[in-house]
Amino acid sequence: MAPLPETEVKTITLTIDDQEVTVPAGTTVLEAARSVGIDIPTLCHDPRLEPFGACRLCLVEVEGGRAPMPSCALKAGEAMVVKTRTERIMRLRKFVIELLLSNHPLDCPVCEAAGDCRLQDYAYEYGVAVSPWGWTPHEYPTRDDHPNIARDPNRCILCGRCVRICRDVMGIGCWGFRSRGYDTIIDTPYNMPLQAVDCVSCGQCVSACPVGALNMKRSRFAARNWQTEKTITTCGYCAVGCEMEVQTFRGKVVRVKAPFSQGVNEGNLCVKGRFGIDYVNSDERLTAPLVRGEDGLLKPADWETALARVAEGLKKAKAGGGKAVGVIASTRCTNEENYLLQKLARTVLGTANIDSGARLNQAAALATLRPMLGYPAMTNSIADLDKADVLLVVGSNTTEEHPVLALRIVKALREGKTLIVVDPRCTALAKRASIHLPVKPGTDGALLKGMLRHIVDTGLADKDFVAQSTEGYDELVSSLDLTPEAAAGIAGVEAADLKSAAEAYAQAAAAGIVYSAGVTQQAKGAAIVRALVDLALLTGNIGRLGTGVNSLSGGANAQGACDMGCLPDFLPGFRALDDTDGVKAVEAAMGAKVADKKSGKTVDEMLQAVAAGEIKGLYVVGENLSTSQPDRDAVVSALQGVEFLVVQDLFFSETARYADVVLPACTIVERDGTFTNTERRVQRIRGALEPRGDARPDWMITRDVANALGAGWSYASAEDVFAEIGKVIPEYAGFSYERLEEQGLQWPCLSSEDAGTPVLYAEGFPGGKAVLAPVEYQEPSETASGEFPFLLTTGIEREHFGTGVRTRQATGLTGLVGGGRLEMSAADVAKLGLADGDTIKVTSRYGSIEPLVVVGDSVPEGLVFMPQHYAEAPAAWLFGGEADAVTGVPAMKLVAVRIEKA
Amino acid sequence: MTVAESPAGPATEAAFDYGPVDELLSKYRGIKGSLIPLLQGTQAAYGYLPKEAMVRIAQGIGEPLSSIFGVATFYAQFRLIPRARNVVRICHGTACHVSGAPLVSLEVEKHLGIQDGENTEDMLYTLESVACLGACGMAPVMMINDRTYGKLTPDKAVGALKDFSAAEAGSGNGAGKAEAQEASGEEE
Ligand code: SF4
Ligand code: SF4
Ligand code: SF4
Ligand code: FES
Ligand code: FES
Repeated sequence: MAPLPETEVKTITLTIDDQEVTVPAGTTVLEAARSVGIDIPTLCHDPRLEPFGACRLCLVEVEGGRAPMPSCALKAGEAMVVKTRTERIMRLRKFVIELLLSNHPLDCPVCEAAGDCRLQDYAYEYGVAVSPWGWTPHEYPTRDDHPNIARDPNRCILCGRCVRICRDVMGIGCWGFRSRGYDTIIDTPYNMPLQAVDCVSCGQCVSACPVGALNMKRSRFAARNWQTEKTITTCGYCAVGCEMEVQTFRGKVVRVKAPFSQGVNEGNLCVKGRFGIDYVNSDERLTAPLVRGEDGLLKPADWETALARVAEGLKKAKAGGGKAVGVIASTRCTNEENYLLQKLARTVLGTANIDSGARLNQAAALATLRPMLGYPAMTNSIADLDKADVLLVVGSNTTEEHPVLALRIVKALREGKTLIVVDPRCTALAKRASIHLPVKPGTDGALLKGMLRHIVDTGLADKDFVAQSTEGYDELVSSLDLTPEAAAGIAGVEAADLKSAAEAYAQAAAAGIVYSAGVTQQAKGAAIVRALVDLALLTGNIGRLGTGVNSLSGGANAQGACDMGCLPDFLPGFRALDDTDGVKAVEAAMGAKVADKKSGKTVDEMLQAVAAGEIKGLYVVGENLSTSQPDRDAVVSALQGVEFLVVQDLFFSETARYADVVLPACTIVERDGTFTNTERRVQRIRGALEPRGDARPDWMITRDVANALGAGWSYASAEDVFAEIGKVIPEYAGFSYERLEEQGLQWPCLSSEDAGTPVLYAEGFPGGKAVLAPVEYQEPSETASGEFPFLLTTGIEREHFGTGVRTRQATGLTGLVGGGRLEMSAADVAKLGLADGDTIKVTSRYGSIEPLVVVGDSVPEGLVFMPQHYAEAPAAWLFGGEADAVTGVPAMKLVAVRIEKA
Repeated sequence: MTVAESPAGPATEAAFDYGPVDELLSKYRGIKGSLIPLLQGTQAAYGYLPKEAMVRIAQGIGEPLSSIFGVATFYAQFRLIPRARNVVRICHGTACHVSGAPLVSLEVEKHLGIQDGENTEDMLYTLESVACLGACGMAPVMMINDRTYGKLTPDKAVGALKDFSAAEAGSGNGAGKAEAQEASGEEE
């Protein structure tokens, strides 16, 4: 597929140090120089920030100009002649460095930044004499109040990068300049602890600091920058898929940075990416297979024994027919691993019972985006989000769930774009939105119906687009049986707000939609997505930059797990099981027969089938079912009751406790492979460390399990598997490890010449026309009542992921937030006679947990919120396992509860 | 409530009167570059810039508190805490630091029963540690209002304070407020 037609980019040619350089218009002289390898020293410059022009180190001379100018702030001009290393410039730079050094503690031997400090580098490069200027150096106290960030203001050179990155890029603003002149210092307001000023612990300020004034506390004294080995890889937590540089030393990960020049994150990381990786070093890691002995206890074993046992157990289970085994894949596993898992299920175990946690977010895409548009994936790119004039964010607490992607939205806000947020909670984005529609939980469908109706009624629909590119308009219109006023009434929002949101969205030159778990994990999630697609189609907001229906997937490889066919009803590449030609093509490319051509079971159905005695063997990879799934009693009794259970994971998870065999897997830094992020970008992950003990990469384990069952697979590396994937999935045909070396590429990528597809449907829809679907709205089945007077909703918080199997082993994260807690409005806390921090008992029709209560301002009265990650109080246990009729996704967003003091 | 009625320092959240700052905020709403007049007005209303008002201003104009705080600390005209009647400054410049300022501070803090930057409950004394006072020759140095005391020991410093308060008690409200006799240095 062709890349988007680039708008004609104007270029500019200038001369730098006698070298001719051609760059796009708007490039600074500094960037132009660096693009041809001319190095200009900088201190206050950061590619993530607007030019500041404060440190004066990047001065250059421009022919015809009077004074030297800071190249970081100077735009390249046509025929400009620039000199970067004249005698005058060198003298000036030396002077600047001398000045800085004269007021800088020279404690380099114990400074965390030594070896990675611009001041140190430049002092050496420019041969600066350490000459006291007779000043009294400051003696500021060092500060240590943040669990991950240490600061020493004495080393600060006042470049302002920390201030600007926190304020401008993060949209927070923890740091500021205090006082003036010689007494200027970087500080939090009132010298408050960082965490008291809304700090989200991203460490972005640390990454911006060119010297040792801000440090990563946890890697102090671990290894010098020059001692570490550096590996570029992809973050394994959320689906943004940030590229990161993992630094290792003596078999351990010591720190994580982000390259500026690579990846969707452009040098940014969130708290999990930057501080969340030390679970890798945890002593709790599984280092040997465990096999349950005669005495019923799990004991360490060698691989041979473990694999033989797995083969024996699965064979025995399979004796009851393919339907008697189930395989559960994972969003933390690579494409290669998930591909092999489904191949194992379909061609070796002979079952279509293959599913993964990706269902939680992806099933709605499959059930709606695919039939309506063509592909079950985010239509546009992350980099597109700030190109939209209006962004409609529905059920996505983006700053917590997809933190680095949210930076695009923050950027859009800074640029004055319009943000509309639909969320029952007043999330960080909702606080800054132009319009926040605080829908009553579960009524998004009604709200969207009202918006669609208003657009139709006011003639704001894009009639040409609708006529040319869609079908189903009449059916859609006749389903719009709610006036905007009626819809607003149901949703509990102002009709005027609903209307202005609809108008802003419909009238924008480019309007984008973003949604995620807040929609897809609702009981009627698929219906809501359908209405969102209708909105985009009705207004022609698709197939262009800044538009689209941007479905944000959950785990790092949630998109990939589905692409690879870890779905009960789709083969790799989303070929349906009843599509005979598709099945044949897949079989030919896999070199094996798909044994079971009837739709298999979802995770929940598998667990139910265990209870019913239909499934006798389960192979669970990287999913912690006992904490993540609703209706905990049913899950636990299924795990206990299944005849044979294999669990493959990094840690001895809750689920592993019930296993017959536990297989130790490798972390993200101990294996090779690819992930597909939310914007369909396929990126490499790369091994930086040897596996721990006897642990093995997941792809290898699955291969060996298949071979123990007689499959005769010969894959020698993850790359071998990837090559096969390219044959099986046409959209992946153009990828190879070699092509993915520098940058990831976005599918569809049909050949090795194809540059990938940043925006889907730019050249029309695969099915010819897109489909407008009628919108149904049903009242939520969970409503507050006398016995259960509160509505509880769940979500993700930025410091943790999934059920916390990894994040809760990461000391860089566990120090940041307390455990299982429930957020409640101050009014409700007072009404119940509770106090902040009390342990409470939360009871729903289905279960009961005991978290702490905290007062928060994101929830209105009557609504309470809980993060999903905590094993000691898993919110999932409060849910009854009601599933979306279309997608089979268990509803995990809304439940009525009773709350009392424990 | 005005600050004069709550002399013990920043009022508690519940008691804080947002009236004046809210009025100023609505007066300047939508007007660019109005932060300085906003802060001036706030200081005029409360006598200093209470934290509550600062937070309110930050929210009101949609800027991070750190930026407001930066501006308020950049200009010498703004005060972040209400000052007590008399200001005791202890120099922590290098010369004073090495010749015993930390011990002086410790003793003075003990004597007044407050920490650096705080006011005594009776609002008679504010204690501030400051950078070089320009009298390094007499380090360690302390000032009470405009009067400089040098070559201090912890005991001498406390003694000076006792003498000062005795004098002040004697003269009603005078000594400290009176224009100081040229900072005459040592006080035996
Ligand atoms: S860690 Fe992030 S949020 Fe906290 S101060 Fe630094 S940049 Fe700001
Ligand atoms: S702390 Fe670091 S980033 Fe911040 S101003 Fe100082 S030197 Fe620059
Ligand atoms: S968790 Fe997501 S946003 Fe954070 S660093 Fe990893 S990929 Fe990026
Ligand atoms: S880098 Fe250009 S002025 Fe600092
Ligand atoms: S250091 Fe105290 S007066 Fe100079």
